Amino acid sequence: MDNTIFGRYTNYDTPIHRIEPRVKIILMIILIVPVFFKFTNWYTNMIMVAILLIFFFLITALSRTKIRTLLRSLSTMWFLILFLLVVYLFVPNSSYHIVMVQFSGGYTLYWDSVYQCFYIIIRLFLIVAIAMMLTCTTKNTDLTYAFEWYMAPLKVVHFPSHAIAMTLSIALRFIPTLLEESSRILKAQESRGIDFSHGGFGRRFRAIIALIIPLFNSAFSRSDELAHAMEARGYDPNAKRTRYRKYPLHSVDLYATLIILAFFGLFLALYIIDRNNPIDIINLLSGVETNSIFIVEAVEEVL
Amino acid sequence: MSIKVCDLHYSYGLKTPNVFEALHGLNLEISDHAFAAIVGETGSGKTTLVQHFNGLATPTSGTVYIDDFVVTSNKRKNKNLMQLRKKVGLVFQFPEYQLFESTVEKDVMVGPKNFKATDEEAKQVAHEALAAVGIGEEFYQRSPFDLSGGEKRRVAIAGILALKPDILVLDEPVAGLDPNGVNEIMSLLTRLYNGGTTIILVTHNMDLVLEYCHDVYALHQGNLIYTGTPEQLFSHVTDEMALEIPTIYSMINKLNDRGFNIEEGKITNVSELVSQIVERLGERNG
Repeated sequence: MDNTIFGRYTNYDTPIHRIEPRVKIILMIILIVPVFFKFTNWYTNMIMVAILLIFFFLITALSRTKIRTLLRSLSTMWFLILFLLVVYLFVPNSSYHIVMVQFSGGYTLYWDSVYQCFYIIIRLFLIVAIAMMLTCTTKNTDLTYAFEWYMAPLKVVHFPSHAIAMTLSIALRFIPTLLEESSRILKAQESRGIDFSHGGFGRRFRAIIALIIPLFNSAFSRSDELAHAMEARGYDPNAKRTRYRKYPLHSVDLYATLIILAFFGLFLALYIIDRNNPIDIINLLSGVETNSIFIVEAVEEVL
Repeated sequence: MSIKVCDLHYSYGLKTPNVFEALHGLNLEISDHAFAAIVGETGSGKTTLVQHFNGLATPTSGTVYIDDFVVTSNKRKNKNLMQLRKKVGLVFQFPEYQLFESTVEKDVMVGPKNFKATDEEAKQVAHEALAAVGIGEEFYQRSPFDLSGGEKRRVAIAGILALKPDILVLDEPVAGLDPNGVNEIMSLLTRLYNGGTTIILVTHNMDLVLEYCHDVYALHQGNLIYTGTPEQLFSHVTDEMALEIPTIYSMINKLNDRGFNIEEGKITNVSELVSQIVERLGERNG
């Protein structure tokens, strides 16, 4: 039951887990931006993506998140990947030149298309995985707090940011409860001989109904009870309220921000240089002298 | 249909930081045609244990034998689970977990139909099962969601009874019922037991254990701490066992504190206690 689309929070105590939620959201966005930088050469692109991947896997290792859970996100995107494969490999494009395989039926597979497809998939994975990283290392309550904090300016236009944050946090809070409940219902129905994992479509559909109806039944009665309990405690959505938890900033937030900003700065600099003066890694590596001159020239041009 | 549990370990959340071992190597045997109780405080592993009896839970290590059926840690080896579930019926604590059909009758028919009974056969066993739990014909066409708590529970039990299990395991069947409901359920279980079914009761209600059960298995934090008759258990209860004492036994303890010498190990119900008190009073006066 635990292969949800979003990464499930695991309560390790690592520097990544300790970063303040508001800071973490911003850092996540900053980390995603370089994924969209496209360089002029395909090999520069590959190297940059590789650097991003390595950097990201370092963070993953630091947060003790299993790479397997992140890779599982790919399995939820299988349809998208299939679609991309079809579009890139079978739709002709005049910009493709380098032939990979020439089939007898007139169809040609180009290296360009394979590369394009691979490049997109790997960047998609990076975006999803970075977002999952956030949910894997941040408590739901902390996340909703951060969202509410970022929505605060909208209060000026009477946007019910608190009500939305409350709804969100209740919904998130009940995901594990409902998962647990559904596993109990599954067991109760399995002991009546309802088989959830075998049989044809009709049989499975009936099995799912046997799960969904009791689950909805209990979810509705739970939400009723919760609403009553909140009312009984005098809950007023418009009241001004204090917080149980405090979110002070620590040194870990500063270090994380500095590291991410430095990384982002490096990428941005390379991107700007590449824009004005395409970086050719192969040339760069072939001569160290020309290399240094080239960079000096490029930097001067930017400045 | 006897049950034998050998060195059963079970952990929740394997391969996560929240791993928790609920059962630490249990060994126990429940004989054929028993009326057994499994007791223990909340979180002692009772429910986890009984879920192994029909293969709903897979052991982390160890083996459970139910007659010819074997439940081991290797999922692929656990064949015939469907047949096992027909032999061992497990009634969950909350009837809401299993009721989903539009009418009571249809809901009870779900079980037999999953085991390839025809509509006619299913209807017949459903009617038998509903009659056994004392749900009259006027309920057949009602929605199971409109019933009272006790009625829902009886329909849920009927849903399992319709499979005609040889072993009936009930998780907290009387929790939250009024005294009348409790009596109805317990007399139903007694009838089933007399009809040849093995009954295994998971419960907190020690009065019922004392009155109805012949064997009792006490769990404490995932370990088996006692096996034997309820009378023996309740005359040797210690604080570490974290068990409540039946009302009768706390009464006996109070009487004994005041100088009555009542033999604890023999009393299971009120009339036996009364006759002992009368005897002791007679000894005093005579």
